[in-house]
Amino acid sequence: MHLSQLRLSNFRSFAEELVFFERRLTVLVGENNGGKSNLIDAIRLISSPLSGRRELYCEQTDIRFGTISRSFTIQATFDELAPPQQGRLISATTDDTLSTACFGLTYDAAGKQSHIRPNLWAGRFKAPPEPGAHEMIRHVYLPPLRDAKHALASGNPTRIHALLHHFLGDRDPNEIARNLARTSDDQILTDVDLAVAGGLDILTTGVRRQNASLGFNTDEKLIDIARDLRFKLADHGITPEDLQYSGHGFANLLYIATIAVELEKTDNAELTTFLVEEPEAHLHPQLQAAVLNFLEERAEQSLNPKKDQNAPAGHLQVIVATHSPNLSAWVPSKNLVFVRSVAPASDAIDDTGQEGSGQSEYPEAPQATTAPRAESRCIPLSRLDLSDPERRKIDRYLDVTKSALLFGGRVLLVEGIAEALLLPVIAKHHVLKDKPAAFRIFRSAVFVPIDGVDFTPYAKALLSPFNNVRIADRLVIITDGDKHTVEAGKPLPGVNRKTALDTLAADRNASDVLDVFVNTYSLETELVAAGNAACLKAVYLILHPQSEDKWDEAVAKSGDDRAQAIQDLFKTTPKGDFAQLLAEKVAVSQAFIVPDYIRQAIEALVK
Amino acid sequence: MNPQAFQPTPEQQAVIGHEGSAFVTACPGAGKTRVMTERARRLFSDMPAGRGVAFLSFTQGAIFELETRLQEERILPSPVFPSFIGTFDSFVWQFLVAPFGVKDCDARPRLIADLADLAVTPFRGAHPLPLSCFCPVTGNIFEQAAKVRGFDVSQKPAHLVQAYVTAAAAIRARLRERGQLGFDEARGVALERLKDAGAAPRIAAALVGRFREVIVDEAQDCNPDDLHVISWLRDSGLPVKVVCDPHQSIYEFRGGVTDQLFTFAETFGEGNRKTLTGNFRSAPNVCKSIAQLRPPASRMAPDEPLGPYKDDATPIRILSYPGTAVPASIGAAFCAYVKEADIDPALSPLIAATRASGAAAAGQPRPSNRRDRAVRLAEAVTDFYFAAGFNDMKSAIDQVHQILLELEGRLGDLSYRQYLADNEIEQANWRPHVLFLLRALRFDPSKHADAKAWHAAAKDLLAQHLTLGDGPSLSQRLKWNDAVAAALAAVPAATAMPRTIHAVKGMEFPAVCVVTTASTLKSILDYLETGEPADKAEDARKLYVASSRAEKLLVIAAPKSQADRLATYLRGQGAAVEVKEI
Repeated sequence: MHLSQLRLSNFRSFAEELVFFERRLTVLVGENNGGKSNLIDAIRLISSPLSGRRELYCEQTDIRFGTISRSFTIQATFDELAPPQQGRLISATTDDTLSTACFGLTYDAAGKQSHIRPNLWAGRFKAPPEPGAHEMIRHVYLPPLRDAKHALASGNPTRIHALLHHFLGDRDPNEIARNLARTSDDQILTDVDLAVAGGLDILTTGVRRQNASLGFNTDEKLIDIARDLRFKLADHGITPEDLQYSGHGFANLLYIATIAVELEKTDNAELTTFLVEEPEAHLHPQLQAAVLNFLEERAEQSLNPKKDQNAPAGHLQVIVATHSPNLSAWVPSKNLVFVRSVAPASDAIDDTGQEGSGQSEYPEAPQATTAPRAESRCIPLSRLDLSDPERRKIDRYLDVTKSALLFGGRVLLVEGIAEALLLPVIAKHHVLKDKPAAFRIFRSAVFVPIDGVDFTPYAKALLSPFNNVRIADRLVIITDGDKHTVEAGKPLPGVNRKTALDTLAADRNASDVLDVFVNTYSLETELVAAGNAACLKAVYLILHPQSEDKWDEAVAKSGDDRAQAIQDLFKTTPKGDFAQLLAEKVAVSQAFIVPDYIRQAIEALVK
Repeated sequence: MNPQAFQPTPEQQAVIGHEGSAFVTACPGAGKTRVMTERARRLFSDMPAGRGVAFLSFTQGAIFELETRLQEERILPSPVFPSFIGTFDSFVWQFLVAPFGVKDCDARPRLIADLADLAVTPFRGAHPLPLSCFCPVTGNIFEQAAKVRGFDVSQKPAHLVQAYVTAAAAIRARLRERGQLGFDEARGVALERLKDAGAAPRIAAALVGRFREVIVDEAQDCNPDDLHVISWLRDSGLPVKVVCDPHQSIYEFRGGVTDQLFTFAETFGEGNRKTLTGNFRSAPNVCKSIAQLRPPASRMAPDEPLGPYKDDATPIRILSYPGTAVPASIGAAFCAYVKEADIDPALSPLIAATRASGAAAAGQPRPSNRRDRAVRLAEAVTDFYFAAGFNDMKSAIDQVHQILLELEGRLGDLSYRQYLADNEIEQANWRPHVLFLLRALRFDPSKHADAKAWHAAAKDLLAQHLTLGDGPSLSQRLKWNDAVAAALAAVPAATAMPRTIHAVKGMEFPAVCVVTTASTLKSILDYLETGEPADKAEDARKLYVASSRAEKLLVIAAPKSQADRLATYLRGQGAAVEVKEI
């Protein structure tokens, strides 16, 4: 069984939203302040912590700010219940098939000043669940590990202490925790580093009998988990022993220890969601992937049939909130849920209050505004209208480039690396030279060279609406006309592409979001045509000192012939290298003339 | 009791160790609770994660007793989940009704415990009949039940009967629309679900996954519908232990199942039918005489006395009283026997089929049959202060709350439970208030000269604390009734108190006096001797239940005309019986 849906009403930054989750792994991606943490917190409120120690409670401030209603509701739906789960969760089942269960939590602060108790309900009649049933669904929250002391004090301190105790000798755990909170030059950190270095032995050599002295020698399960983790780290080229030397070595180790200790207990619940928030905050990139890969594999394993088919299912589901493209690129796009903030259509309620979301992830202080309050919306990429080949194409692209393509906002799609390298320089030094505000907007955009001309899958992903929201706020695509590749009189290939893309946008009611710009030939030809021949020639000669004649000969031609000749010149020129050199010149050249289509594209991107 | 000290008899051991379904017939005092406790201990000693046992019985009292025992022995985990302990009705509700609701109705189903008492009146001023007089399935009137309530269908015109049936159906339809179900209606909904070829197997699979075993105690109290659910559970693959004493089935009015129970027992294989015939409660003469009270067809030998009184030679005493009315001298004569045997009279009840004959035997005023509000209030206050356990206390508190709501005129035509459900009234919101009033309403001879003074004080107090609104005054709403005096008690009586047979079910006392009347005893003896008239079987079972409560001393008060016949009959299997005229 797994958490399939979460319905939020009036909860923090969410007005009314239905969020979908994948069976094993869901990665919530999106800008800061988009609502990812609020989603994680909603799951923390609607389920019990695996450790039994609740750290988050409903509060009045969880009610969406500025709304008249004084209540919020979180409703979680769980799918694929096997018969034993149906028996235990029968009071929460939603129909006669018994295969789906739901739990809801309503917090109503209307008319009462104190003692507001969230009301837990379940099943199709929203009645109180059978006592104990709700505890069969648990969560483990792995916060961004910014504070080692906090990590030691929460979660399962006993087990983590046990894990570390052996290496810390007889020192008082409280004293260690106290010292950990102090400045980094405290001797204890050195000691702990050493201790934890030793602590890794438990992860590394946990299978061996000599660990019988460790205090949890009988914990076969923990040792198994440690062994699996060790293998996983090795797969990702990480030697745990080396971790202590990296900046976050100790935090990383604590983190891993926490996971191992929590995993040990998941068998007692039907479902445990692992809520991993911003793993990039402290785990170095290799380790992020290793840890998530490890968790995902545990989630996969947890679906295997158990020895006792009537036992609690012990299923594991991983939900990660991240704004690291690294992580989002690492998983298939269907596992991504894009979380973003949008201005509501008509809900014009004025407020100047403080954000209800997140704790410390504001890049800037929220500004007082009279605009309608923004609300968080979610787009599950699995539900966008994309064919499997299109999906695979995007996944492959992201996997290699780690692009922030799906992080939304303003996106510029170009054909090649040359455009991607040159455009920011052109914008900074020419088009937006005296418009710092516009340039800041420009800088926030994502530049995506697709190394090809098939923009369709990307445009579809970015423009397809899900419940009236889409990933991109603006999408600008620049493509070459390639006039020289077709017979005279035939429509330009680039124009065909533009027509197709415009139709795609119109079909998705996104015409005002998309702008496609087509030149006549290709970038280099257009730059020459705009009057930058001297500049380009200088760069060309740096790369091909012997070829001045060839250059002159090509540029002397006209029309399609010139385009073809210039194109031929660049066949043997590494485009990236050329663009880098050209960028240097463009940055300092007052005389550089920006081709119109590039100017228009830059202006369209920031409008 | 120290678990190590328990040495089960071979019969008990066979039940404790039996895996799979079984039908267990237990005699009175067979140590059923002990056996079930040990069975539970065994099941929980290697309970796989996520699984549990369902313990079901038919009265709150029986559940309370079993739950307390299991908790004292630290067998039942806390919280109980995923195990279940509760009445059969609550099990049916929780697993077959509440999650699914009522067909063609979107409302959340709510169980309204007192719906059966809702008055059906086809027109203003009509004689009210409780809803329980009408079949929840067919809607037809239960003639016997209606007759008891003073409505003899055979004497009424067909159109009037039809008017009642129509009115009852309308009430049920309205309730159903709002998802409100009584126990009978809920059972009907559950049976509908079991007939659903799609849903029933899924529910069965879910229950099999969750419960390792279902233990149904006091199964003699179930009705045919309950039995249907039990056999469905068993046939679905759940190991079901049915524990009962078919001879103690005294709930024929709710469709008791003595005969069906015997038939049901036959469906268990030979090896799965177990008996417990060791009586740990009663003295030998009690065992021998109660064996004679079983129906002729299944009399069997007396149960073997194994308890602390197994060597006690106290004979059975028959108090032969003259005339047809139950005299107060019974109580006095019984008390003399009790004192002679060095037993506390407060632990020695006078057990009668009706409250009236019990009160007569104890020399108390005849209890009012009119459910007078002042009497009910006095009774609830007394029950609260002399409650035998938390359950009794709780029902006394609820009773007072209901009376207060009635006095304030809030219930209208709703039942008490319906009113609570409709208005989502939570205990926490009214209990403190009711407890405060209960404290103030305590009958204290140092404060109240007599019952009338208590009544006056009660009216003063309630006038201050209730919102009465328009209409009759409080004095009119809480009229004096002579029976209030009998209902009030300051201290537990140091004398034998009258109890009804239904009230002492499942209990045991060092001494009991069973009060029989001229009108019933003759036909009971006829039935026991010949098997006819067959409709006296239930009365015979009641006599059996009442008599089998006795540990040491069993006294039976009998009309003179039947006393010697009774004595002779009881000696049939060797019991020592003495007759004394009073």
